[in-house]
Formats: sequence, structure tokens, C-alpha cells
Amino acid sequence: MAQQSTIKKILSRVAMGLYVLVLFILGAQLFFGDQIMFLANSFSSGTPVPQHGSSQTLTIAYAQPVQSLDPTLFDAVDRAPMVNIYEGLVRTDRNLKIEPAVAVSWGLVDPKTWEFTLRPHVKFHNGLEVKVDDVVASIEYAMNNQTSELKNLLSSIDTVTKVDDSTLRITTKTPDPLLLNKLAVTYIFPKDYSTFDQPVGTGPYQFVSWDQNKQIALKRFDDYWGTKPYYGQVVLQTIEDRDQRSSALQNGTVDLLADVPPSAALGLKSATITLKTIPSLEVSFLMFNLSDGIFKDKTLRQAAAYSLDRQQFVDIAGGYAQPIDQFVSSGVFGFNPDIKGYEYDMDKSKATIQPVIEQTFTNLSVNLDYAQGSDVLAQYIQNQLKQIGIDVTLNPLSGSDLQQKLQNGTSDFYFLGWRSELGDANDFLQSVVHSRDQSGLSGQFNGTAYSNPAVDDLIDKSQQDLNIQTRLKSMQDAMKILVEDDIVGVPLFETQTIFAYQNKIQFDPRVDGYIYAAEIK
Amino acid sequence: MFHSIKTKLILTISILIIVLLAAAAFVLVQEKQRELTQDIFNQARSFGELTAGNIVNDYNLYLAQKSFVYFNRDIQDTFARDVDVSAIQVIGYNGQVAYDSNTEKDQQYSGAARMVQDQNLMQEVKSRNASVKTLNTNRVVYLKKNTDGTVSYVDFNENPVTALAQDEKIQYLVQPATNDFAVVYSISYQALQDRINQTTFRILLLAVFGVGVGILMAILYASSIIKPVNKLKEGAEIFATGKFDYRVEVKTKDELETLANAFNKMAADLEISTKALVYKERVAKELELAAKIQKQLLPKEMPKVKGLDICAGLLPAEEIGGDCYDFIKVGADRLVFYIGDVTGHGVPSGIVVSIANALAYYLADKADILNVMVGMNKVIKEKTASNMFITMVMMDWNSATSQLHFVNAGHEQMIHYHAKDQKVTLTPAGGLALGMFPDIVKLLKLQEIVMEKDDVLVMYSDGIPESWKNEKEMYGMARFKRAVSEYSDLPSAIAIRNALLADVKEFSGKYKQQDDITLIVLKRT
Repeated sequence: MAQQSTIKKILSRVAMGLYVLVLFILGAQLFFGDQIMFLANSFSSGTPVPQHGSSQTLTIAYAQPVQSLDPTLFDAVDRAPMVNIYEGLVRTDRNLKIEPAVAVSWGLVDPKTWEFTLRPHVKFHNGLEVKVDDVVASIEYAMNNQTSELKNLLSSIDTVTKVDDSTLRITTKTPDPLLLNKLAVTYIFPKDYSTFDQPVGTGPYQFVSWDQNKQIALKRFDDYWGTKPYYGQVVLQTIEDRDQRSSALQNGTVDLLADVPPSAALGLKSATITLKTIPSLEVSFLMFNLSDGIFKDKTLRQAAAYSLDRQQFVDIAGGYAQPIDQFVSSGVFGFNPDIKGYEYDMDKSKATIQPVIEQTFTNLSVNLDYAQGSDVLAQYIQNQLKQIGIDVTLNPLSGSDLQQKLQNGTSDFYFLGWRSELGDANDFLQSVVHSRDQSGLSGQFNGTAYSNPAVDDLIDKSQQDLNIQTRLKSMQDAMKILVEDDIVGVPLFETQTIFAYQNKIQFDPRVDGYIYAAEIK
Repeated sequence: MFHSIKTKLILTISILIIVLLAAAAFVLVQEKQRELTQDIFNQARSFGELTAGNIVNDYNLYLAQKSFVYFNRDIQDTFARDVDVSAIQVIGYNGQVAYDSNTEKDQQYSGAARMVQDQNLMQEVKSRNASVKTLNTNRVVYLKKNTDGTVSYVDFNENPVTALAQDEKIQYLVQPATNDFAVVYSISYQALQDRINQTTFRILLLAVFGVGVGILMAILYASSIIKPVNKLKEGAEIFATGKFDYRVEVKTKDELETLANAFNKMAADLEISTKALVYKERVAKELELAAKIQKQLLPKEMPKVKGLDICAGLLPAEEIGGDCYDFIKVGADRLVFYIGDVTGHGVPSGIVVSIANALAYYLADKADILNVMVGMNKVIKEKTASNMFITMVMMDWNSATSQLHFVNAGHEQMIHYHAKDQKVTLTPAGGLALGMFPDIVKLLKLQEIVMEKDDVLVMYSDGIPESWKNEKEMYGMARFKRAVSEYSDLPSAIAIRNALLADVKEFSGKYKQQDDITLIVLKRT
């Protein structure tokens, strides 16, 4: 009995103690909640602090395999994993607003000199701190290396110099209003680093493994300077077969599908899967070689332009596309609303080409170079041009082969897609239609030997003009000449990017179409 | 459960805290809501003034040129600067909606021109003053900015109207930007609601905390009360078993300690009074016994002698009386009898009475009554306390000679009723009470009374004349004598005795009998 009551007494003391402890914690939370960390997150609805320590894995599926993790590559496929691993001095938010990244502040010393101050104690995934030397080396590598696809973009840069341990200056040849946008895609990596199979960056995720053609695994970088991402692991899968891609999402092995085939889009929508579409800022067009082949003749270019019904392309794209009449999609800065393109008119097309055919009496024939996978589109073009008397031989090429051919300038007629991911027409003008210069810094993808000094002049002007309005005017004028006067090619359609994802994830597409795993919850 | 002090305290404190906090919360939330609503209004107004121009500039620069990407970048940036603005519309003076953030999230609107249908909104767009539409009353109020920076509430024609209430919520604000465009800012009170919810949640938490602390305090406070109360209870239970020497230990320095002290004092008093009660009971029992013994000392029945009708009676004032009488037959013809009154009454007198009674009984046939009394005096003087003495009249009736002798030892004079002339006389006083001096033979005198037929002689103790009616008036000899003369012609001694006693009783009424009353009535036959 006595023992029992002693136990009872001890138990009630313990219960009392616990009760007082709970009260104390509650009181501390209540009155000093802002100072102490525990529980603070769940109660204060101020700044959203992501939950750390989620060990969940986010799986994203893409259609095409990554070829390389070289940070100076600039195509959408290879960049997909890199946006998670690497960062530039600055970065863009989903609306392309410039935000500080590795650089914590910057400004213009004079119109051609930018000064950047590094954020202190930013770490690479290898544990070393980012030094000014690393930044200088990274930018110079992107400017100068043979394989760099950023050469054109960064051609405006003159010098990159270290000022002190935390400051560097970038001087441009001419004032460059887009420099920050360019630096946002120019990634920083350790200076004595040249094999990119094991990429080392400063981004929120670090590289784990790469199973060639299958998947890339990433994990959360715990020393990341910014907000730590929600998902602990990210797997970027490659599923080339479109049906498999769809079913992987449907059976739940994939959380987010990046390249949703337009034909499958509607079928994917369900109670657990959400579809989101955004303008891709990507346009598809045909380009003519103006110095060689049949399309030297402007009349034929004109006839070809009239012969293509852009609505047909929209239908082929399953409705997730829109016809266009210029080389950038609407929404991109530099778009010229005044341009009236060439309406589809087979009679007009035939009438236009008739004199040429009558004059030459020779068979008109041309090779169409295009990337594999666009066969349906190519066949339609072949078909239409045949109707006006041009024999088109289809020549599907791999992505890299096509690129090579364009850079060599040996293509007479090609089908190309271009994404203005900076939201600005400048990069298209600079890379695709500006005449090639000796250094290869302009006209990198100008496979048509197009050269119009007036256009070059407008493009050059648009690159250095800090006045937004006159800059816009330069680009719009250039665009008008390209489309209406010179007919360098036939703009066909702009596509929409379709994303499909499990409802359980919170996803908001970015304007540039990339998927930043750190932005997903 | 609901009848313990602890529960009651907890309940009371909890209710008090909840009521207090609820009241405070109501006031606070109301105030905060008002304040925030006003903040939101003011902020929206200055936000509109500051940003409308930029928004229209951005529109002209980007969106009019179909550069949605750049436009959206800037407009999202604008949105981020005022969380209470939920939507932005750019509306032309011609009524065409140029931009609507609700529908143009990812790309620019394309299609037929969107025209404003709402005529009120159209008027607001056309006004050069900013305007708002209230949320609850749908009232449109124009805000005319005065040169000194203050704002007047007017209508479209700038006539003054009723000002907005301080906490009036608005649906949207229309801010004219340029001659061709106005910007409409839709206001959301979600952030306000969030903050109110947050405040409410905090107060709720505070209430939980308060109740928690209240319960803790109640438990602590209740146990500080309950512990001494339990001690008192234990003490009471111990007292109930008769252990009055137990003491309750409570040192709380408050009313409870006072109560415990009173408790302890009660126990002490109870101990004393209980002892007294026990003693008293014992004494009462003994007194009862003594009274019984004393009663047995009195003759069981009245003697029947020739020539005299005798009746006696004794009404003691207490259990033990100081009066006595006895009838002793001596030889064939003599009857010796006496009436005595020991000083005082109660147990001491009773003892002396017993001695006197025994002495008289023993000595009665040994000598004449004078010497009997001398002998009694000797023993009483010797064996009793010096302040104890006894007055006595002893008589000796010889039925053969019909002579009646008496010796008076300091006792009341007897009342003699002479039947022949119906007069009342007192026998002579004299003698000295027994027990005062060792030898009183010289002080006593044997005397004779001659009783004619129907004469009545009344012997009595001083209890009769000294019978009080109240504190002031007593029965007195005069009344007694009158009563004797009045009742002496009654036929028997017993009737006379009863009548006399009744007369005395009638006189004294309910007043407490102070002294023993003894009465012997002789009637000569």
C-alpha cells in the first residue's frame, strides 16, 4: 500500500513536471517565439521557410538525352540538368527578373564597365569557396574556348579583370544592355577545372551520378548559400519514347514531364495530373541560302513563302502552336507587331514562280536539311513545294550534324527552331542573321551566308543601345527587313511548351522553359 | 470531482482567463482590422499614384509591341511591391482593356478587343481623379487630391460626398495615368485576413497558456488550502475518538491557522468540560444515593398514638437536606419526636442530620429528652466541624398521662392554636443550638405544653417563614400564624399540614425554594 502510494506520488510529480515543462515551452514560444527557432516556422506565417530534411526524391523526365555537362553549352537539352548545378554571377527568376546569385551586388562604373562584388563564402560543391579568380576564369573560358556555345553571346565583353579578393570588373566593347542576362547563363566553375563529366558548380543541387542516355542523379547541396531546396534528391530521366514518357507519368514513376508530346497532352490530363502550357518563345522557320542554290533568287523565296499554309503546322503540333510571321515569337522584346507576313496563297505562289520556271526550263531542286524527328513537317514542306515545281530532297540529320553543317555554311535550305530564352530578339539576330565575322563571334548559326550591312548595323546598334525605346526600334526595323524585304526565310510557327505533373508537387513554369528543381515543392 | 476546491478554482480561473482574453481579443482584432484596412487603403492609394505611370509606360514600351515577356517581368515586380494588390488592369480612355493580369498570366491576350461593360467603371477610367469602389456598399468615391496633399472625397463632378469610413474596404482603385490610359488595382484583403488569423491564433495560444498557468496555480493554491483542511479533518476525526490531547499543526499564517488554533482550543475546552460532566454525573449519582439514604432516615409512616393526631412532611431544597424529624416510640406510652434544622443544607448538613438522627434514635430511651439533647450536643460538638450546629425542638408525649414536654435548642418557636378561644400563640423561645458549646445542660430547659382538645401545635423549620415569593418579599411569621389559625379547625393533622403547605406554595409560586421546608402538625384529640 505504502509503496503504491509512493509510486503514485512520484508519478504525479513527474506528470506535474511534464505539465510545467509544456507550459514553459508554450510560454517561451508565445513570448519569445521570434527569437527561438523551434516551432517558429510552423506558427509564424511571415517568410516561407522551406522544410529542410525532406528526403523525398523528385523525378523529372525529358525526351532527349544529355550529351555533355559542359557549362558552356547553350542548348536546352544539355542545359536542363545544368540549371540545377551551376549558377552565374546573377540569375533570373521565373519572370526573367535579374536577381543576385554568386555576385551580391553590381553596378556600372561607366557605360562600358561593370563592377561585381562577390557574395562572401559561396561554396562550390567540392567544398572550396568561390574566388574572383574562379569567376574570371569561368567567364574567359566561356568567351574563348573552342567548344563554347556562349562565344557569340559574350562577344560584347572586352576584358574580365580581378580588382581585389571580392571584386571584379567586366568591360564591354560597347555599352551592353543585355550583359546581366548574358551573365545569368554564364556559369561559374572552379578555375582549374576542365572535365565536366563530374560537374562542380555553386547551385542548390550537386551532381551524384550520370547514367549515360538514361538519367542524371542530383542531391541537395547542404552548403548552398541560398534557400535550401525542398527535395533531397532529384533524378533527371531520359525517356525518348513518347508513349513510355506518358505512361511513366501516369503510373507515378515520374513527377514531372518536361517534353509532353502535343498529341498526348490531352490524354494525360486526369484527377492526379495537371497540364500547364506556356509560350515556349521558340519559333520554327525555314532558312534559305542566299548565296548558293536555287533560293538565291528572291522570287523563288517569295513563291515558297506563299506556298506554305501555317495552319497546317499548327494542326501537326496538335493545336499547341500558333502561326507566326516573323522570327521571334510574340512576347519577345523585338517583336514587330507591324509586320504582315506572307499569307498562304497557292495561286499567288504559282503566279510568282511561273516566270522563273518559264525562263529557265530547268528542274528546280533543293535539299532540305532538318533535325531528325521533324519528318512530318518536312514531308508537308516537300509536298507543298512540289506543287509549285520545286523538287525537295529530304535530308534528316542528327542535331550535331545539322549544327556542323550550318556552321560550315554548306546548307542550301534548312528547317530550324530557335528559342529566345532571354526574352529578347537580340540573340536570334546576333547568332542567326548577323553576317559572320572573322572571329566567329557573330552569325554563328548563320548558315545561309546572309549579309546585309544595314541589318548588321541595326543589330549592332541594338546591342549597345541603353535606351530601351530606340533599341526596340532597331530590332523591329531589322526584323521587318528580314521578313518583308530580304525574305531570308519563312517563319512557320511558334510552339507552346507543355508540362504535365503530379498534383502533389507545386510547380510553376518559368518563362524560359527550364525546370529549376529548387523552385519545386 | 466537481465539488473539490481544486476543480472549482481551475474552472473559475479558466473561465476568467478565457473571458478576459476573448474580450481583449475582440477589441484587439477589431482595432487591428480597422488599422490594417486603413493602411491597405492608404498604401494602395500611394501605390497607385506611384506606379500607374510606370505601368502605362511599360505597357506602351513592351506590351503594345507584343513583348509580353519583358512586360510581365516588370509587372510581376510591381505586384511584389504591394501584397494587397491582387490584380492590375490597364484600361484605355476608349474603354478597351489593354491588359488584365487576371487573364494574361503567361501570354498576351489576343482576340477581339475587350471593352469595359461597366459604365461606372468607365466613368472612373475617364475621370482625372483617382477613384475607389467600396466592397460592401458598391459606392464609387472619387479622391480629389488637394494642393496641400490632402484628399477630398468627391463625386465625378467634384462635388463633395460623404467621406469613406475609416475602415471601409474597397474593391478596387482606379488611378488615371496618362491621357489615354488608367490603371485599375484590385485590392485583396487576404493578407489582412491572414494577419487577423495569425493574431487570433496567437491569442488562442495565449488563452491555452493562460488556462494552463491558471490550472497550475489553482493546483498549487488549492493544495495549500487542502493540506491544512485535511489536517483539520484528521484532527476532528481524532477528537471524535476522545483524544482531546491531540493538536492540529497548521502554520499558514492566515485564517486557516486561526481556525486550527480555535480547533485546538475547542479540543482543550471539550476535555475540561467533559471531565466536569463526568464528575458531575458521578456526584449527581452519589447525591441521589445520599438523598435516598436520607429519605430512609425519615419515618416511613406517621405514629398512631393516643391523644394526638400527628402528621409530618419534608420538602428538601436540594437532594440532600439539612432538616430532619423523627418519631421514636419509647416504652409503651411515650413518643419522643423532634424537628431539627442543621445550619445550611446540602451534603454537609445531610451528614450532620444523619449523625443527629442516629444519636437521637440511640439516646431516646436512655434518658429524659433534656439529657438526650445534652448528649447529642456533646457528640455533635465533638464530631462535627465547629461551624456546624443544629437547632432542634424535641418533644416527649406521654399518652398515659397526656403530658407533652419539650426542649427547645435554638429552634423556631412552635405555633400553638388554642381551639377553645381560636387564638394562636408561640411557645417560648430559648435554648442554644446543638454543637455550639460542649456543655449546654444549663442552657436547655424542659418545658411542658398543655394542649386542650382540638388544640393544634405546629413545628416547622425556618424554610416556611423564609419562603420567598421574589427577591424582596418572604412568607413571614404573620402570614404563617394567620394560616395556622385559619386551617387549624380542619379535622385532621394531615389536612392541616396540606393546607399549610399549599398556602406556602401558593405564596411562593414559581420562585425557587431556597431552604428545606419541614412541618410537623399535632392535633390533640
